[in-house]
Amino acid sequence: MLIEQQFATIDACRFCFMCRHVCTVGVVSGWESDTPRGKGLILFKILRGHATYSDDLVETIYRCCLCGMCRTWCVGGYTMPEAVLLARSDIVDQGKEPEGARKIRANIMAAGNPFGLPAEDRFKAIGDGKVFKDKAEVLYYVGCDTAYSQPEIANAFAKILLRSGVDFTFLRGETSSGKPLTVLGYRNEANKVAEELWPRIRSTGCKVLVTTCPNSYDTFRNDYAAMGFDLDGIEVLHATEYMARLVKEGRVTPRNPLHRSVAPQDSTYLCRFNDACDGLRRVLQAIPGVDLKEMSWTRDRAHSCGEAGGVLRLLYPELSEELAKRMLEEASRTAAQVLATACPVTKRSLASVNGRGIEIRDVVELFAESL
Amino acid sequence: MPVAAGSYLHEMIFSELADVVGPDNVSTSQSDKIAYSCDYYWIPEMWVDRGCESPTAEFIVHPATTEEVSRICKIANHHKIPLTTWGGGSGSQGGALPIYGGILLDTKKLNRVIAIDTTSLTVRAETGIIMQHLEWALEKEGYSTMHMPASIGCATLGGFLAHRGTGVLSTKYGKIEDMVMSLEVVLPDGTVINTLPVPRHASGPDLTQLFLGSEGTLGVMTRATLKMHPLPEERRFHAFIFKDLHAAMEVGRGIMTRRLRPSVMRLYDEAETRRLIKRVLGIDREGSYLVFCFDGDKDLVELEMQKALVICRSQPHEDLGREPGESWWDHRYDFFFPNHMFRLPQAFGTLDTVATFANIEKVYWAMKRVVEEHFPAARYIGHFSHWYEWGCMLYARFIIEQPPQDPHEAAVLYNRIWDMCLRAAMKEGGVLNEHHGIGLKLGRLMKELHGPAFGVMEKIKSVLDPNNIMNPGKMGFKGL
Repeated sequence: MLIEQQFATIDACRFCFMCRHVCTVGVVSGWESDTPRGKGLILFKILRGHATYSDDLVETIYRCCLCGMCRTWCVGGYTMPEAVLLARSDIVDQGKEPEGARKIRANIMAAGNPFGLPAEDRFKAIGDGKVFKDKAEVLYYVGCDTAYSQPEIANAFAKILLRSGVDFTFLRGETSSGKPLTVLGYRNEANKVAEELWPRIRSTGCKVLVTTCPNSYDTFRNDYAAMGFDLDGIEVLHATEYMARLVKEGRVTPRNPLHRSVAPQDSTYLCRFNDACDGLRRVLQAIPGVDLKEMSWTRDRAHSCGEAGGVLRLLYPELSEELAKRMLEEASRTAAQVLATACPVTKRSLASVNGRGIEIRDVVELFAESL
Repeated sequence: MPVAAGSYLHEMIFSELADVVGPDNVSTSQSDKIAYSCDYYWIPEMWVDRGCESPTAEFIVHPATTEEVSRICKIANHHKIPLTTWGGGSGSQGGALPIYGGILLDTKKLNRVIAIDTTSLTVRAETGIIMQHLEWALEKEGYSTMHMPASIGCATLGGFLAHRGTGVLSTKYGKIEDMVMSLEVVLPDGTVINTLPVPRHASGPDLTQLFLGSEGTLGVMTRATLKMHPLPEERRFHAFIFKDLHAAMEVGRGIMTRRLRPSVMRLYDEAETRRLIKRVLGIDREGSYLVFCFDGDKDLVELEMQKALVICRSQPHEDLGREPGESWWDHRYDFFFPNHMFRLPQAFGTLDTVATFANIEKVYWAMKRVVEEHFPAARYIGHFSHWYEWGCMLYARFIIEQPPQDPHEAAVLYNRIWDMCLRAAMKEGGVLNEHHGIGLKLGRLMKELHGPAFGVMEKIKSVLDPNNIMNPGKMGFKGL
């Protein structure tokens, strides 16, 4: 079993309670099984052959939102999200994954997105900014959530790139980067997706691969590197990092004041897994008239609402909603008028439960608006 | 009485519970049975490690209101099935283990802060709130309960109430039983009662204190009003090494009997100074390490500190200054993460007890002799970290690096150490426990400790809980 690779974590976490009060799902649900300790106990039993993956146990392993808060909090440096990922791969190997996971896998393999929407409709809602070239300095990878449900983010980013005079292109025939597959335990399929996608990215000759999607950002930077793909010569950046660079280089200057108080909502993949927190704030600070309101839970300790692969919302929508409500509650304590996200999955989850009157915008939209 | 899965009764009880809390808040899943079958007690941990089958609850329920708790109690009482209350499950005495199956009532959805009274400096909260969450809520308003145990992130307010918990600032601010103003309690028959709103009165015996420390055997505490304090202007530490435990104890006693009020005072025996203080703080010294802290307004801190330093300097000493204490404060919870904390395959137990100044060193030496003379595979360390006007708590520990693999042999050895150590402690004026409670672990010794007075407790238990549904088999009360 793959989880043997994480024996040290499973052994340590099975009797440890020290992060339970920060476990995203555990705190919201209250169930002991949802905490890293609960998962440690279960995986230890599996590892020792004292239990097998029943439907119940599988569900517990898939309810984890992989936010990594436990990992950040742990003085011992144990890594339950990695153990959970391996457990999911074991479950997949045994053919016991949830039906919802199978559906997401089938959709990505057939249509290139987890929703099962037609591949040809991917960029349909994106306006004039979409540019397709054979070669460009910069490739803008849009990502599935943005392409199908939040084209406003892509439109805004294309506007920023155009106004900055960047030589950029979208990717013809863009598909999922494969993050949902990795997150669900489909390692082979994730690899297949990467094998198909990465050469096409490379063929654009881009020197910068920029994305508004932290899931894809982490996939290209870390998952593809781990799979052995050659990233040499291509700098992978999140839009926040790239916009901050454009401002610093004087290629674009936001001039229209926003006159709003804004709370930054940090992304799990940017802050906890890639130490890329600063871009979001730099961009917001570059916008005139932004009154920055920091939340108590911020940066690498920010709340999550199921960013990883965007699958929690698809598999367990009620749980995802509870996480999003908690995030909104935290934001509302700042009395900010706008909650600025840097992740389309997060924005979508928040928007679906927003009853607090706070405006939820991707930072890319705010920046574009100020140009 | 276990309720077999698939039986008519199982179906009926599930439906009744679901009717109260909604089906999503009743679990019979394998995942939850596993997760709620092991707390922080070494025996169930060892059982998990050895692959033994631990007893599990048949139903795990998550009530979100006092009324729901009341209705659940009525169901359990009607069917005469065990009801075990679970807060954080981080107790070290097996108190929350559902040893007879039945219903396990997880309180963590009773997690609201109800009212903060900034005039009287009190806070009312539901008892399922994780203590750190309550602290964070209060800190935002500039207050603290000053209840800061290592388990602050693991345990619920109710858990501390149930076993009379303590925190690292107890010497000034008290144990949890000193912090409570009043309680709301659901009795085993579902009746909801409130104790008097203030803890000082002459209006009959104090019912609040009856329920504190009752470990879920007399009812479910659902709300509590606690004192709170303004955040201190300053928290100032100072540390010393003294030549031995006795010399350091004399200093500690001097500070307390002079009626100074340090918020923290921690005295480590030579063995713990040699191992733990060296490993964690990097202080490599022979002798006994003492660190204390005063907190509050700066001028008062300065005054008390100067008086304490005079007492310290009356003994031969090495002055380590402020830094070690400040470093300990900043990393005080690190000790309890894996790699720092004792854990399997080691066997370990915390023999925390309390006695007067006249007796506490005798208790320390009596338990040390038991461990060293009768259990050569075990080592014994101790520190004294909660102090009173009349005595202090001893946090003694035994550790066995390689206990028997056979679970029965391991349990027999483990229990024998506890029995012999605690009998030795009781003989010298100690008690079974100071702040972790009794639970399953120490119940068998309760009659020895209390003598005929335990009969009073048994009578109270039988009157309040005639069907013996509330956490049966714990705290020395009869099982099923």
